[in-house]
Amino acid sequence: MPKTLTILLMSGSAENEDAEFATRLAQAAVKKGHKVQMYLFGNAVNISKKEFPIQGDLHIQQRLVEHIEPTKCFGRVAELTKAGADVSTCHTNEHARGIESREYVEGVKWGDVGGTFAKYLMTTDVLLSVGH
Amino acid sequence: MLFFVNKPDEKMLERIARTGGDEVKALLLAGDAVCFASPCWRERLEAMDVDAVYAAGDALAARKITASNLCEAVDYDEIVDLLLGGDEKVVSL
Repeated sequence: MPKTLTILLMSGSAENEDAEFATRLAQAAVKKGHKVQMYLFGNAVNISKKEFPIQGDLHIQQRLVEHIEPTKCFGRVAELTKAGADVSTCHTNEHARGIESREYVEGVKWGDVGGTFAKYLMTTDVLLSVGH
Repeated sequence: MLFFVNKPDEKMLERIARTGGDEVKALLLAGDAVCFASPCWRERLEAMDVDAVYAAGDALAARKITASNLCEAVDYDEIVDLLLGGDEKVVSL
């Protein structure tokens, strides 16, 4: 029987494995027919925004680039929303990081704790909090 | 009671013991917390009434950790089933 999983993600993709774990878990849950609600809070709001790649030399060693690139979650977040996951952010955390006006990854929605997250909590079967 | 743990801090075990009380406990480990799947933690976990330990297989493999026989490596599909397949209470630490 399909259930609803709400994931509160509080880490971005660069500081630890939380974002990778949460997005891969969300993908597996959606694939199994469950409903997924993901709320991006704290540094996790960084994965809600489209990437702005720089042009020219990165000044980063190739080995390090090859390590970093697979850890980015922007693409997976877009795949998640396309597959039906409900992903939204805490806009106050975006504002605090100076990124509120930046364009969202496809399908990600503006949100807030009092409205969006409260609704998630009231409609979920399981809440998983992923952060450090 | 299923405890989700992603931090390798030993204090997590104290929290699990306090929160879970006398209930039979299972752990779902991810990230650096998969260190608790190694054999050196087995006795401590059993003393806390932990009867099952599930660890994210990719995190175990990335760290080359050999899990104790109390622990089962799980993939994301299996983690979904652990979280949503029953009525067990899930506690995130």
